Amino acid sequence: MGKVFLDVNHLTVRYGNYDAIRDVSFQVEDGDFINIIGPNGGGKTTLIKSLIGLVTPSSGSIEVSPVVHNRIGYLPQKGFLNDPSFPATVEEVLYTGILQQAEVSRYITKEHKQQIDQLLLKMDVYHLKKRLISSLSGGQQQRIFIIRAMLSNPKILVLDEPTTALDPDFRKSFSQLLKKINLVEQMTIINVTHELDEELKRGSKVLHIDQTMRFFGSYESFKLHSKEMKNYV
Amino acid sequence: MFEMFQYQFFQFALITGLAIGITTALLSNFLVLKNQALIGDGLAHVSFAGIIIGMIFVDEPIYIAIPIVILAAILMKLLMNSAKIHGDAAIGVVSSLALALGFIIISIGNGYNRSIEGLLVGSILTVDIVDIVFSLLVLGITIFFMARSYQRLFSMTYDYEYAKFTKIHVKKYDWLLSIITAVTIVLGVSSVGILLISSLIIFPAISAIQIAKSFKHAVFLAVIINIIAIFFGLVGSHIVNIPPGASIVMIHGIIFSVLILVKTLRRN
Repeated sequence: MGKVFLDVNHLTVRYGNYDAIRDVSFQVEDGDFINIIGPNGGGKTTLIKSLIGLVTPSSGSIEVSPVVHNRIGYLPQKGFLNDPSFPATVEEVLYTGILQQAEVSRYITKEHKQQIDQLLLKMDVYHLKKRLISSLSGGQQQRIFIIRAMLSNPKILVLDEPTTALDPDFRKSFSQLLKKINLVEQMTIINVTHELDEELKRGSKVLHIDQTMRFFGSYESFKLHSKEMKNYV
Repeated sequence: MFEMFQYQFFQFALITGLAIGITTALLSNFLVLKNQALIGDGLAHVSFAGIIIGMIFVDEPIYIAIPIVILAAILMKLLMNSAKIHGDAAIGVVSSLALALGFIIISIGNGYNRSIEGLLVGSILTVDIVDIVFSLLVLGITIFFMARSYQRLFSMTYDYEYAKFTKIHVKKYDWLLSIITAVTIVLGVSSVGILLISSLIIFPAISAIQIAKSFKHAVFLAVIINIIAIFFGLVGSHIVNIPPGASIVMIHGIIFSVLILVKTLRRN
């Protein structure tokens, strides 16, 4: 059993009289690859926004290990659906990820620029550095947003439906990339998805949520015990 | 032909116009790309009421108008954030109420008619030393603010929620941007008028983004575009004897059309 990074206890988030999520409890351990699945409006996005501090719980708690403090990377749901007329380059978009770690100065330094260059090279997208982000394909944009999320040297990477709107080939290669980050970089991953493709299934945990938590455990036990598995595979 | 540069009133107009133009250009991309382009129009309407009220009490109405417009900007933000009213609607509510208040004061008082014309189309050729000092002061504050907060403002403009995630105090920067915009608008109303001030915010950004290669490039181009429009607008208005505010906006229209054409030709 790995070290506990996040300990979620009886988490409830309420909007007015509506419970977006109710009484959810689970733990995220070092090295986990957790796929969060569930129907539209089932609370998946609310859950991860609570984990990263964008939504305040109405009740319950989320205990964050000191190891993880300020070291969570985030890839938002509509990362690549930006205004096509917005004149931002890849490099400028990546600077927004630096702000998470630049707590003191909040300025972009030479070291930050080197860090960006290294990640761009590592992900084979250095040649896109000066391009307008809006001119890139959906798959290329998602790679850039992954790099942005990794700039804070995260222990946990949280992704909100990163493969939605990507074509099947890109989806497969993106899932492979996530697996590689999980195994090679030893980064814990929490991934909201509509569909569990082959790459995502292997060695992962599944958190099935529909306002309340329906299932949490390994993919293998989800396959054996959940009647609803067919909806997501 | 260029004897106008010898006249003090023209020099004053040029300095004030360029100071306001550079300030609005610096704000332009951050407001337009955040879908807040109409805030300039809304606050200009509030300036109308503020300046009319100011005329009742003091010789320099901007002393009263500036705090009134800042309060209006705060009220707009509160309506957007707390009452969850959509941005355009919140601007509409506050600006139409302010405009109505201005008209009521005019109908009760006497002798404002000439001032009203000046407020609608601007009177940049009659600006005085107080206008120059205020314009340069606001330009200085804006440059300082942008230099210190550029990355954070860019992050908020590009992706507001991600900016919140990176622990940027988004509300604080929202307020600061609104307050600087409010003060700039009051000064702009006295120069180019209520009807045209929003053009100094909208045109630089929409023209610049047609050919910009990055956001920083767009900010730089916006400043250059506003400088060109104001300089040639003022000179042109003097030569062909048309209102300077209208002349500035027409130059902006020409620049925008040319850049759209350039973009289309490049694409083809």
